[in-house]
Amino acid sequence: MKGYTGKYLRVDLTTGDIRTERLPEEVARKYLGGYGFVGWTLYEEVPAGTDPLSPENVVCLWTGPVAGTPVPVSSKYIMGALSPATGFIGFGIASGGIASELKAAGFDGIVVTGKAPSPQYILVQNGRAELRDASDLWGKTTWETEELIREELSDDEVRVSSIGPAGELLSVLANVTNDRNRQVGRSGIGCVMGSKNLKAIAIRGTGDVEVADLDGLMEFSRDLYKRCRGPATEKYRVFGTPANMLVHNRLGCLPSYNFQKGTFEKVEDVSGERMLETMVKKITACPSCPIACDHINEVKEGPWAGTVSSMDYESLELLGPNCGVSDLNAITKAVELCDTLGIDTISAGVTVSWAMEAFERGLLTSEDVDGLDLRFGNGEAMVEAVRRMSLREGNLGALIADGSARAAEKLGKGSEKFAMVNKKLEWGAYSLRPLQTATLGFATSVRGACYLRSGSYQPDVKGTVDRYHLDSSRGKVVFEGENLYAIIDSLIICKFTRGIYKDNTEFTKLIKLVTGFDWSVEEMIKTGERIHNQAKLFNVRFGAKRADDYPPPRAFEEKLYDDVSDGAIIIRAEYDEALSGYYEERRWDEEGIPTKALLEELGLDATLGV
Amino acid sequence: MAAQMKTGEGLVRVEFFGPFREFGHRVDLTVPSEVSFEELVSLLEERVGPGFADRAARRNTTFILDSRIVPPQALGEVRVCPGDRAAFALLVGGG
Repeated sequence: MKGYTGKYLRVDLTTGDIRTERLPEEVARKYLGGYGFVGWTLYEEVPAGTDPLSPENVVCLWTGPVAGTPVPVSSKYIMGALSPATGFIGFGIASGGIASELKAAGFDGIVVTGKAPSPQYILVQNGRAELRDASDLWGKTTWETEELIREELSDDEVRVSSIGPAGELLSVLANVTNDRNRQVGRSGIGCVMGSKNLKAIAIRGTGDVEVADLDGLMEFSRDLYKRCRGPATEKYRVFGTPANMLVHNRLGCLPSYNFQKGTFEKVEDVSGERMLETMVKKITACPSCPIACDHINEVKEGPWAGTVSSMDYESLELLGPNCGVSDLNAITKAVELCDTLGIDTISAGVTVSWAMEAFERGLLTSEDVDGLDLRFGNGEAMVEAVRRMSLREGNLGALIADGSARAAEKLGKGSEKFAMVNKKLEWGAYSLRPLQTATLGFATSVRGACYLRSGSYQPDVKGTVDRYHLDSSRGKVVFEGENLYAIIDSLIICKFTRGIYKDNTEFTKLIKLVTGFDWSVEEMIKTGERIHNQAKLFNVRFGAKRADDYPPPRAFEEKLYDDVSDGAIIIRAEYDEALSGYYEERRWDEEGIPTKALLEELGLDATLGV
Repeated sequence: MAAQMKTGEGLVRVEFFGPFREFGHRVDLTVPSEVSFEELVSLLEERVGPGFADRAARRNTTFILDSRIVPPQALGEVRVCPGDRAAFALLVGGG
């Protein structure tokens, strides 16, 4: 096989057995890589009724065919498991050196089962792997863990994905960090690793990846590199994703005060433009990336002086305006805590904003929040709340460590209505009511509340649809976006580069040059449809139904008033119609269950179909 | 459901984001009546200095009128009226 090593590691932590298994070519042709392989692995290996934190759950790490090749921005990997946060498919994609290193070590992926008797880490080196003691690493931050493993191995080039204390403490919001600033952020993959006593995966490889047409790929990659330095990616190069702040505020879709508004009166103070002027210490790039979008902030004065953390739009927005906070120093500190203690910044920001709203409404007492003045806008309190939630410390930490949905279940008193979640996972930094196509896409995503599965906000912000209303035609927008993004996430290439590909034929060209698969655009999109349906089938196995595909109640029950929106609200009947339109486009029934005919056509298990 | 984002008094408020910040944060332009996108850019070039029209013409420019992004292919049909709010920004993508 070209583009693949054709092998993956299977690690049983209970027995300590490590085996190399062959990756069947028919699996590669059917699911392509990355996201597709996660769906395949989980569907094959995690039966109905599995407890996400039991040894029977699987945590897998996969690359795509382009990892380790000259294709720009292709060193990306995905980790997946039955999510302890949602109870459905969980996965996250991260950049950095892990993917290319694993391919160079001779493997396409790692599938981990069981539970180690004591803390351990997996070391993969050129064609072999071993389990090593991690007792001394337990309790360490992710950054410390990376450094200590490199010291232990006397190898500065080794790449490390690790969990922090939050994962060890089984927070369902726990993430996995590599290269200090890159995270498998969502779905609680770090929690599953913690439940298995798996502290880290360390990888070092020096081999090559064979591709189908090296000369052709080099020529195409040179062209892609040039395009990566062109206008389509200028925003990412100069300002990073925080450039979205002022634009989203201007469009009225910048969540603030726990999504109660779509604009923020102090947005200039937390804009990407202000950040670049006052906070950015350096701009860095992942391996094989000519864009360099990663903006590293440094706090220069005050109680958090010296704090350094990578800042992207989602983290900045949700720990900033969504908590009413306009202090860039506080936001930078909070991101550092999330990254080192090992918790997802999106879920952290939305959970703290939920607690702030509950506090302001008088539903949480001073004793409940350990005496913090947890009002919106208090940056110091936000930072302390993040620290406590990451470490399950005090009354507040105990309440919010597992996110806003579970915190609201414990608190009750109507606080469930402003827990901004879908499938119990916190919503990304896009306001719901003024971006209604996006809301449909986020709420129907298999991972839950996901802004990365379909690009469904684009027609809203580009004005090609009425973003304040929904109809059945929006289902097609989400359907088409999901199928293409399933390919992007299975190859796996960075979504920031999607603008450099002229059209879908260039994706088929890339696939052919790397793997030799000579697909038409239609065949490629059909593969994307298969990959998405495989993930959906996994959710169906775990009880997914129509009710799981709705946004939080605030979208339907509270009108939005701010500088842009004048009473915007999602009309439930319109949403119902759009959701049914999406199901119809997907050939799923009214409960969102794929039809047997569709599953058979896609070559998937039709047992759960209707 | 969009609020009326009018500035009043016959002015068009134009905000600058991203690389457009080199031309300032915002300006209030007096326009006699409705103007086309091209006319707006010319007025801004006179007001904020040379180079603005070139920057605005680049294909990664996003033009926002009131609360929506105007697709590049629709810029020729844009009419900016007194009371409108406009903004120039970099291409909006994912992320």
